[in-house]
Formats: sequence, C-alpha cells, structure tokens
Amino acid sequence: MRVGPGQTGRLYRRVAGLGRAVAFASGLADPRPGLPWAAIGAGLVIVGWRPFLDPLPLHQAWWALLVPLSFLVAMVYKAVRLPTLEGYWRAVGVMTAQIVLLMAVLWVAVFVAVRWLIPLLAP
Amino acid sequence: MPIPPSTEVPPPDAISRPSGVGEGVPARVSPLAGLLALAFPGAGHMYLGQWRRGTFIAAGVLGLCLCGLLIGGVDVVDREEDPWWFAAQALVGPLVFGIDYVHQNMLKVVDPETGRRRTAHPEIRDATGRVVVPAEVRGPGGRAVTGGPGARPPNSKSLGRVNEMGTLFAAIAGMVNLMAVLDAFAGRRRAS
Repeated sequence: MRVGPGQTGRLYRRVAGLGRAVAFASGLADPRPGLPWAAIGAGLVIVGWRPFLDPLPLHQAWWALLVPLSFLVAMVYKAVRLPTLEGYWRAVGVMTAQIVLLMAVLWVAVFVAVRWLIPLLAP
Repeated sequence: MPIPPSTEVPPPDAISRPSGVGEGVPARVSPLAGLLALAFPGAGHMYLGQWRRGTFIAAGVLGLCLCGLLIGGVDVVDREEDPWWFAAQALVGPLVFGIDYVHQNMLKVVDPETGRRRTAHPEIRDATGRVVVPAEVRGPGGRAVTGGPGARPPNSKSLGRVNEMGTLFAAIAGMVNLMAVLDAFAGRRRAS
C-alpha cells in the first residue's frame, strides 16, 4: 500500500528520509522514485505497520528470511534427534550453516543453469 | 588357556550409556504424550519428563509460526483460501485453529454482492497521492462498508514473496511439530 507524504505530515517526511537513507545504504531498496521508501526502510512503526495484521515490507530482502527459518527448523530437529542435549546449540548452529550453505549452492547452480547452460543449449 | 569368568564382556549399551539414558532405549508407546504434543508444541516431551527438550521444541515450533504471522500477517493462515497450506499449518495444534477463527470471523469482511468472506480492500490512491477509493472496514454483521477518511481495513492482504515466506514458515512449523508429536508418541526415554 502506498503511503502519501501528506498523510502524516512533517514526522512522516523525516522518517521517510531516514528510511530512504537506511534502505539505500543497506542495498535493500531500488533507488527509483515513487517507491514507498518509508515502508521499505526504517519507517515501519511510524507509518502504522500493525504487527500480525499487516505484512512486513520485505519484498527486497525476502531471501534473508532463510536464516531464521533454518535456525528454527534446526532447533526443533536437533531437540528431537539428539540423544543428549550436550552440545545442543553447537549442533543447531552447524545444521543452520549447512542448510544456508546448501541453499546458496543450489542458488548458484540454478543461476548458472538458467543464465549459461540453457542459453547454450537453446540459444 | 581358559578364560576367567570376570572377563565376561557386557553388551555395548551397558558400557556406553547409563540406564535410561541414550538414543533408542525401548519404552512403551505413550499415546497421551502424543496427544499432548499435538495440543501444544513440546508438551509431550515435557510430560515424558524431558523438560529442556520440550522447551526447545516449543520455542522452535512457536517461533516458526509466530515469525510466519509477523512476516506475512494473519493472512498467511487462511483455511478458506489456502486449504492445503492450512492442512500443514494445522499440525501446530489448536493455536492455529484459533488464529484462523479470528481471521475468518473478526478480521475478514462479508462481500455485500457475493456474501462470501474476504479481506477488506485498502484505500487506493492515484499518482498524486489523492485517495481515489477509500478503504473498507467491518460494518454490522461483518459486512464490508466504506470507511471514512484515514480509515484502514482490519488487516492487509500479503502478496508475493512476503506471503510465500510467511505461509512457508507457518506450514513448516506444523511439519516439524509432526516430527515432535511422533517422537513423543514413541515415548523414548532419554536425557532431558
């Protein structure tokens, strides 16, 4: 949902500027004009994001959610599978790293296939 | 040379693990533990006396479910619009049914034309920021009515990747909880 600058006045404009700066500096935002900067960046609370009712504006950084997803899955898996809970957090960390690395390798493999191999096979 | 009786070798399990501790120690199947695990994540293991294990399972499953709701909003749990995803999410337990009940009956609006429940529309603005179509809100009986200036719908529909990730988080929460339910049902005695 696009939020107009006139909606919440001066405070909005300040936060929008901050959000634009944060989003641009972190590389998460597209510098094209017209995007809802405040929502992309740091203006979540001020522009009225309601937790559990509105989705998070993470369209540019959805892939980063793989890390908490892997961590929480590893937490449950290791809690069920380990014979004893000694070294539990270490095992969780290792499994999280394994999932994230495997996904990164798969991403590279699919990228190479789509950008290089398939154009070679069917130019 | 005769072997003295004292050199009799005990089975490997007796050496490596104290009694009742370790993987795969046979135990009776515990349907109650399985039911408790299905009622609330981790409760089955807590019932078996494995409190730390149960706490980690609860934190992981509830963390996944709540992260999904935080990412995609309550829209990611929707029995009517996404029944197959809801089937996986339902394995988290009654909590998800409660979330879906709130979503269906307290947040969605009833379409005045079709009579079906749906998410209320947000306001639509033109390129200059002027409101072209105001947002819908819940009216009497949950019917969709046009809100006043600045009104917001009860909740927003999530779209694209954010919706996918939120739905996936909640669905995976149910699937890993199924693993914990089966483990509790098997009733294995292990260190807590």
